[in-house]
Amino acid sequence: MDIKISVKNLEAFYGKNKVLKNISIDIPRNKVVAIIGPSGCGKSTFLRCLNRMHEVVGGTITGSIQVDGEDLTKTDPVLLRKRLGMVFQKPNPFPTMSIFNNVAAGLRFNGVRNKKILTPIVERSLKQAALWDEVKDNLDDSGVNISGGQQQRLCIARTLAVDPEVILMDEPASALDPISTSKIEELIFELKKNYTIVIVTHNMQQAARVSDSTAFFYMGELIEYDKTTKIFTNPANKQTEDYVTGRFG
Amino acid sequence: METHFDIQLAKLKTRLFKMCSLVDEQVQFALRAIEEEDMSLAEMVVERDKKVDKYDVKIEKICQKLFALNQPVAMDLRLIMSAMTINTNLERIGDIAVNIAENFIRLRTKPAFLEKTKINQMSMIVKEMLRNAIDSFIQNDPKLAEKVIRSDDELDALNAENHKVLIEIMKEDKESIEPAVTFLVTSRELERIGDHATNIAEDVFFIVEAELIKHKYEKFLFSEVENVEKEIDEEIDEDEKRNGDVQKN
Amino acid sequence: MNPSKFFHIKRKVTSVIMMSLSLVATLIALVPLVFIFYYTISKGISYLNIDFFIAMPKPVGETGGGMANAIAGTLLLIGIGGVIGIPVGVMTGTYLSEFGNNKFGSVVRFLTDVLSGVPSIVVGVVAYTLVVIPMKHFSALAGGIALGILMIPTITRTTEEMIKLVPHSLREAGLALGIPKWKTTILIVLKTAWKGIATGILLGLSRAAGETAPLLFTALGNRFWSTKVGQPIASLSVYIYDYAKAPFEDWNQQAWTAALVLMLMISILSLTFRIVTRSKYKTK
Repeated sequence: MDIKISVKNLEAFYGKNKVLKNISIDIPRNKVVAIIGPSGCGKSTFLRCLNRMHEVVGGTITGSIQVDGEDLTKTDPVLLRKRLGMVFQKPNPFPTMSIFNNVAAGLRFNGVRNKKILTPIVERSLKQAALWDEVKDNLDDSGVNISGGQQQRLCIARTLAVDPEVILMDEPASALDPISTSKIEELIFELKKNYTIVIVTHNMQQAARVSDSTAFFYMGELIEYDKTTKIFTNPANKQTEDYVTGRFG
Repeated sequence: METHFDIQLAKLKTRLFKMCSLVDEQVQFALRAIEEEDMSLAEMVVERDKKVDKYDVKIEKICQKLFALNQPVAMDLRLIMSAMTINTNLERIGDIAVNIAENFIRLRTKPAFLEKTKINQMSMIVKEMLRNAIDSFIQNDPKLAEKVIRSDDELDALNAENHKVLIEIMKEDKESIEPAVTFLVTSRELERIGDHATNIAEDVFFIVEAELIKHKYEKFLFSEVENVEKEIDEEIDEDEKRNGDVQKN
Repeated sequence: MNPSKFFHIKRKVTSVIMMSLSLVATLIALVPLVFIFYYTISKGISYLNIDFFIAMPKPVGETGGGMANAIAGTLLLIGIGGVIGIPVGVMTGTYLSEFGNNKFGSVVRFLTDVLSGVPSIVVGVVAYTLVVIPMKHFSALAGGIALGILMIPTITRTTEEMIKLVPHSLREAGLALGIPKWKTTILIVLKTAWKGIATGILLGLSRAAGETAPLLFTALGNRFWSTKVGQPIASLSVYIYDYAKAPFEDWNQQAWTAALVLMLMISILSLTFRIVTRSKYKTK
């Protein structure tokens, strides 16, 4: 297996509160890994640790996280986040910017201002996010005047524009209607051809549909990590079985 | 929009179509082996059953995966449910073809009295029923399915007639008891293929019309299905009450 | 009677009563506002003419003349005040909301609240002590500094509140794109909150434009045309104060007109700000 991200003995803390306990997990390249588990199980924290966004909310970690063999706890978080892009639960386009500038934001604010360079990148990113056809005639409109589903795909395009290697998705469809959700899910199938994707979801069916492997977290621990088919047809652990069959607690 | 799920469904259908033509061929070959007294063809039928079994397992696995990962509903749910039973029926038909072939291998020659029986006629009808059942499934054609279901009675009648004829032959000539018993079994096997073809046709009806017509057509062929359904429900409920099968919820 | 019907009626009656009470309260609040407008306009309009804007004040005993020097003075004073108050206020507000979740932050927040409660005359005295005494004479600069200090608490608190209203998700979106924190704060957070901050600045400027007390010790006043920063300077508010208590009917009238002009200036300022900060995009 071709490993993209290798996590070893990861522990995460908010203050004195330990939220992740000794997590070791390997995430394969160009695959979709879903993280499932009940609220407060640490799945979002785990995702944030992967691009050090946990620091923004005051978390600390021990253990090692390697991306392509490189220890990311030793790299500059600003550079790291360009390599591991993140899509959030609620669509969050920048309200003061046009659709074009939303997609270009990551590049513009890091010094790329030449429109000749930006235009093809914006177009490519919007196409990858399956949004181009819907917005190509109003690229100068506000990024918040489109529907919620379109906004979320705009946010995905914005993440793709900085050319990441990994896309981290934190419940990317939980604020969307079923049609928009299925569009995002189809997009994930397309994107995994070029990117490694880690998706946190509280929707088990979504995890089942989109992912190649599934990890079940509970109370800050990794209970089971296996092929999605295995997790959803014959999980090895009783807790996992109870959770995926909806018999939890 | 062709979704990832659609692609998986198409894959299931293709596999099932392939299994259909394989099983159809098995029956054709088994009957032709008797017709032409071709031992190598009969042996091939026996040999190729392994392939049928492989398809059976494969299709079962695909269905399981589709159920576990996609939570199919409506049309999709009916298709996958029916795919499973059609798969089972096909596998049974495959086994029957092997039985017919094996029985004939033991016998090696076609007895002269075969002209007097209706075996030939049955073969023709069975081949046509199977063809129509498979075509009705592939083409989603309930009319063709209905035709299959109607033919079954004819087949049953021929089978009964065969019994009478063969018993007469056995009474007259002790030498012909062994081949006559063999063809008594073969006649029954042909009738069984007809039953399985009927089951497949019923499933096609279920996929297209969303109505369970199983075991109802004898009373009211394709009419007032709902009334019959209610009748059956009541009958079962009463039975269970009488036997004390139902546990108090 | 059916109890559910009884409660239904009771709810409706309560609703009507509360609605009426709110309406009455609103009307009461409107009364002084309408009177102020009415008096200022009706009394001030008679002297409002071109001369008032371009002519200088006439000596005692002569009628007519204008307040050109005072209008220019007020503009210069709030200009100086703005140059000091706006950057300090906006930056302090930004610091408090983005980095101020510590002891130092709460101390600054407390001091800002205290400052906003300090009587403006005290600020005048402070500016007098810090600027006028070392310079040995009254000056526009001293007045501007006093006004700037008065603006700071308003702008700081509005900025902080407005920035806090910017969803945390936007900051995270910026950071997750690999944009450094300082750029995220300025280019995304401040830009998003800008409309609200502008309102805060406007409030600060308006308040400063109307202040009289701190100017008495600092800018003092000037009967002649001056735009020198180092010299005493006239202002509308001080003129209103002087002319309103003067024993000449003509001056009293001019005080009303000055008040009207001051109100107009603030309205125009407010309108300009609205237009300048108007969002590029129509909001749904």
